[in-house]
Amino acid sequence: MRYAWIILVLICFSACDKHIVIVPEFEAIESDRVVLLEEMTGVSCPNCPKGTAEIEAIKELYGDQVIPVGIHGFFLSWPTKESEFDFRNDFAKDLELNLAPGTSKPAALINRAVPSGEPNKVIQSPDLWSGYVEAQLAQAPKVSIEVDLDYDNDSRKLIINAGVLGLEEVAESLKISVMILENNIIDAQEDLNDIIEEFHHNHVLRTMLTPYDGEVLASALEKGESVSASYEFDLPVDDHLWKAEDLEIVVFIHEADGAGEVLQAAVSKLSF
Amino acid sequence: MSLRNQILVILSFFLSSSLFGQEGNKVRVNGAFQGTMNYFIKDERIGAANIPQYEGMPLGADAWLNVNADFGKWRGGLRFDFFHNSNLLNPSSSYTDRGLGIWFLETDYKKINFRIGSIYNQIGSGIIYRAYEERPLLIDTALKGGQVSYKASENWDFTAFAGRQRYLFSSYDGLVYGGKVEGYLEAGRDKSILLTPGFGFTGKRLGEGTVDKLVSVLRNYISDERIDQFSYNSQSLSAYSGINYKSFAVYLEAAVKLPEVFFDPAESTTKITGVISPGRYVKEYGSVLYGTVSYSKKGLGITVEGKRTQNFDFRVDPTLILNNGLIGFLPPMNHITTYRLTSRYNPASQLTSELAFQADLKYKINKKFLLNLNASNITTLENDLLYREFYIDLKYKPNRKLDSHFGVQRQWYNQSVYEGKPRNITPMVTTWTPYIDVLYKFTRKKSLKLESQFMSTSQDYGSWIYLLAEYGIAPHWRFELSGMYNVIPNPGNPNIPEGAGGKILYPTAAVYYQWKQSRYGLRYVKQVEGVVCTGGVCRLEPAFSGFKFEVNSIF
Repeated sequence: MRYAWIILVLICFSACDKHIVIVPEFEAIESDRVVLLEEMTGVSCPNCPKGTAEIEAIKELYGDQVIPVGIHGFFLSWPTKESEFDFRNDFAKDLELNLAPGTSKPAALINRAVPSGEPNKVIQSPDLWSGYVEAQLAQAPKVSIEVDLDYDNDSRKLIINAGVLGLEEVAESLKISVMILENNIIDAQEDLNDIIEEFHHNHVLRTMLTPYDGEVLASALEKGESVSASYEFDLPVDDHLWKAEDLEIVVFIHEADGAGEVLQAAVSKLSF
Repeated sequence: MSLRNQILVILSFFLSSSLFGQEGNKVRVNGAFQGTMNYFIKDERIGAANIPQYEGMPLGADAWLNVNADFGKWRGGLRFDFFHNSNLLNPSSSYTDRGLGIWFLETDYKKINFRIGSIYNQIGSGIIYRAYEERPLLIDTALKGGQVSYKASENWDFTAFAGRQRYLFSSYDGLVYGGKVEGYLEAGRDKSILLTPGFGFTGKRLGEGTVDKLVSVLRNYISDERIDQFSYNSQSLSAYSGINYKSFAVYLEAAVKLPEVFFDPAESTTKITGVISPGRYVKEYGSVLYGTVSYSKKGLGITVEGKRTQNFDFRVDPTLILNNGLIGFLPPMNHITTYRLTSRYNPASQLTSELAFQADLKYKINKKFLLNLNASNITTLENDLLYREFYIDLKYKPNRKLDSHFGVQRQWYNQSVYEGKPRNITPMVTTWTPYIDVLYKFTRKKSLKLESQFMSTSQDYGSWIYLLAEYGIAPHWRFELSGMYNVIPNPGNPNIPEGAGGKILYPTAAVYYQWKQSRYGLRYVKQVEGVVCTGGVCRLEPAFSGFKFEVNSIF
């Protein structure tokens, strides 16, 4: 009996090893990669301000190297009792249904890639987003994107020209997606305490100029080869929304088949 | 050949070779099948919408097939799992997969028992380690590895195990290991004191992926909140004992978790932008004290139970959330009831801060009446009320034909904490719920069960009435008609999903058929959103609308 106890204690203490991890200081990654962060969010989601705070912190660190997109699809995206606007649209709904069906919120897809060690693309803990953004930034881009905007303030007509250049040979078929986001919308948002009536909403997906799953741009791309696409859109006239100065045009290139990972993204603002 | 197929071939080889080697031994095979098929019918009025099943994937199914064999000193088993558009993994999502869920092989050699494959076990009451299965919540935390048990004497058993925790058809990164010593002792002059002491420990070694994730989070923390270092390994220890003396039975357990990194939702993180965000990873000790004291004699039973929990979020991977990756199990501390309305609000065990007490009294007044009183009180360690309940049930059974229950439940339920709803617009739910339940047997075969419940509350969805009639024709048939009606709704509640709320009837019509060892059920169900708890584990489930076909069979 005495020996058995000794063995047990030895087993216990043998587990208490010296494998200590020292947490390093933060060091920003320099990269030509621009990362798309699609956040599944909603104004009736009490936990979603935590996602907003995480995104703003990531933006503070990496600026325009990270492009957040607030997708107000359907789950917990219905307006609160205090809401003036309804951010839902068919593109957001289709994206949520197809990219993150039934996810809890907030959740995010980062370049639509499955991070190492995760079972799928949808990351439900905002604390982890920053690390996965850095993992994507550490990868060199396979293509570069150049976006030119032509906007007429009187007619509110917007023309978007996107050029894509192969930085290395890309064997798979490529798709392009074009989104319009809106910043600086002040409206209600639930948090863990209350309904915040004047919450600052940024990066809200307002519409897409391609199908929600993109449209085919090229069947493959050689190094140095370029392809382009052009889109037109008339900005709706609205007393409160669709303010040209608050809009962002996001263009990204993603795999047409397979995992559908985003290879590169770009963002532009309208100029007058 | 895939890994799963290889395992199957190996297992088949073991089985067949053992079979030939055990001539004369009888091989016993048994098994079980459990399956549910759901047909989802969108109903925006009750909030049954906006999840994939209502948006074009209406047919879902979950099924498990267990086959076990027992031959001589060898035992083995397999379980095949099948999911198609299933809402079990995440009630708001669709999950499709199938394959070999578990397998195991077990044998005895002298006083030693060996088991490899999927292992279900627990230490003490499960606080520091419990590998178990709860199918309604798709929880299966079997350990995929090995276990050795040694019977050192008549009174002492030793067990050690190691492996990875199962997650669906794979397993979590990282190792879980542990062991326990359990004994049986008699003490006192006439050996009237029985002791069942035990000591256990559980350890985990973080996987490399988990370490990377933690580093990526922690290095962004500002200096005041920073954790400079952590270990790959962490352990928890537990000492426990049952003590029986005459009419008294006592169970005590003390568990401690050595400092490790875990997510504390009560803390907050200061972002680089200066914004304060809820929740933070901290590195702290954890502890749980748990005990029950029971007294029983003819016609009287009293049980008092208490639990104190501090920082006991012990997971395979600290970055996992909800019920994922939990190594232990904290016992629930409320009265378990089966009635539809009295079980509507259930307090899930809190992992980081909870102080809970429960007292239960059963008193047989005479041959016809049995009284059951129950009271429970759950607060945080800071004394914020989480849950309080008083429950009175009177059973009246004057003869073999009539069996009835009358009772009332009084509840206080902190909906904001348990369901994650905004604090300031989510008041404490307080309810009064009287009920009557009458079962009358017309003949030995024919019986009628009637249930009537009324929940009075001005919070959440408002007040409810529930009626049920169930007619049984033994041994084969059972028919059920029931309805839950939002008799006094609470339209001003901002937490109710868009379109839901109002005076809505949630009906259920069901027919069950029992044939030999198989049971079939077909149900049409409309079910309101609510917290569903199974075995003390709870989660918020959205409303359901549609048909369910269920099969349970053993062979």
